[in-house]
Amino acid sequence: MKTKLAIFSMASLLAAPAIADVQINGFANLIAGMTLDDDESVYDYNSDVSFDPASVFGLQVRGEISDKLSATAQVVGRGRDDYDADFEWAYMTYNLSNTTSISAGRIRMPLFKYSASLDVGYSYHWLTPPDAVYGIDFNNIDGVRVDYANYAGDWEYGAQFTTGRAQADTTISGTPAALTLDNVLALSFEATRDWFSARTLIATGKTSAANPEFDAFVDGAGQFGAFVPGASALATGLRVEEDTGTFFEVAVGVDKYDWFVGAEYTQTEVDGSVIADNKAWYVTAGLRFGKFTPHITYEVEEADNGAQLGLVAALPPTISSGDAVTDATWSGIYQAASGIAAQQNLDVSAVTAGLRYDVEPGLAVKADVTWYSDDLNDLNDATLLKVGVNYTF
Amino acid sequence: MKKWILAASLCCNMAFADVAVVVHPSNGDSLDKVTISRLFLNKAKAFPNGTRAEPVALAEGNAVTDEFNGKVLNKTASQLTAFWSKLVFTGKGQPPKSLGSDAEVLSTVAGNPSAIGYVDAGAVNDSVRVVATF
Repeated sequence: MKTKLAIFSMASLLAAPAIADVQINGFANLIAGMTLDDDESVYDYNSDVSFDPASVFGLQVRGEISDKLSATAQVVGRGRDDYDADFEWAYMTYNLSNTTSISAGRIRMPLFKYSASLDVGYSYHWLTPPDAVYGIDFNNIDGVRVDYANYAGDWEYGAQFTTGRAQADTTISGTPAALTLDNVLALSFEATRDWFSARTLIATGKTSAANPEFDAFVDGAGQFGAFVPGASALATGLRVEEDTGTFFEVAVGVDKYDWFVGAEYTQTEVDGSVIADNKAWYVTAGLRFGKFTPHITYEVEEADNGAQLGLVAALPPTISSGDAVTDATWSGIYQAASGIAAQQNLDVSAVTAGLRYDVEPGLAVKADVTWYSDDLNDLNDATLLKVGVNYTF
Repeated sequence: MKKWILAASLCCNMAFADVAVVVHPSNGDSLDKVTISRLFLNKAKAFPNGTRAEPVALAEGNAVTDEFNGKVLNKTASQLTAFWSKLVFTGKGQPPKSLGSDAEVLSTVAGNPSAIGYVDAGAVNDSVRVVATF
């Protein structure tokens, strides 16, 4: 139904003769990747060449209904979804003034420095932005965004306020789950002066993630609440149901044209849930020699499962209820809880070296090599090679 | 003699290829490089006098375009494409309409009090007002 509505709105965009100006823009990222060792896999790549994980094709239609009002729809097909075309954005924008506009519909959430052009590989130097920071389950939101942009002296600055609801697929302790973020409120600021830029964002939202298997486990633990100390706390402390999530981001960059450096840091917390506190950052630098841009990036992602381990530590490993079946059930729950809590720990880093070659305006060819390292389990270490083409028109 | 002058002016145009930024004669604003750059990069949407600005560009690949992009916007063609891809795919803005020739830019600017464009400095006539030359 949603798709039908979206197609209808797109068709009416194309057909309506009343629209003075219709712009069609598109982008394509065709990216092939493989790990360099037989038993290695990372970011959905393995040792067989695959185009699926990061390849994206998109088409955007924008109609200017008047000086102040425009409608935009973007259809995107991703290799990892078998290139099924999906309306990722469909929104209307109204210019309240020369500095302020309001957009409503399905919009991009301005979570990161490169959020706006996340799918347009041509707009940045990597083939894909650092996964530690950008590997998040959702980037779009159904809601309203207010954009403000102005300048003073040599500074250009802006602010964005976004509110709405986001839904996405996620995983909870390894199994697929449906993620919902309600009452999302996000505020971001950015400032640019010549070669310097900085931005920050803070966001909150009520986070729920439904997964039948995980919910059944949590319910099972909760049933012991009456007679096992800590069991209720475990159930509420792991369940992801209307838990307050907070997200913080800050990025700085210096671009002197001949060279550039940049860094971005993010912090995610979902209180009282199985989702461990997550911190991620990267630093990147590159040089521009004519059409060549060699670059290097170091990224780190860490999740601290202290809260989850604390819940398990408060539990008795075994109980003696007098009923052997009950005792065995509790042992099973305890072991599952220990396993789940332990799994939430994360400590990975990666170094990426790459080269961008600008063939012509709108077309770039790139190659990136990533050395991925899991500091908790060396068996997950991998070396990934990606080559690809970014095109935009 | 005339031929020599023509040849000399051709040679000098080639050598310097100065870019003239032009507006409608009724537009009395004085514009510096930063202001012009902001108007052409969608960062400022109106002239200092408050009139909404409608920038027009010359086609990509034109020597005057490269000159303007380099001297005024401080961007190469590739950088400019990357810059616009960020705005276009967020609905924040569209690049200025690009026209095929100096003559088209001059007639567009001469016919629209909101327009601002750039042409080869040698092509300027009195249907427009030159606000700056680079």
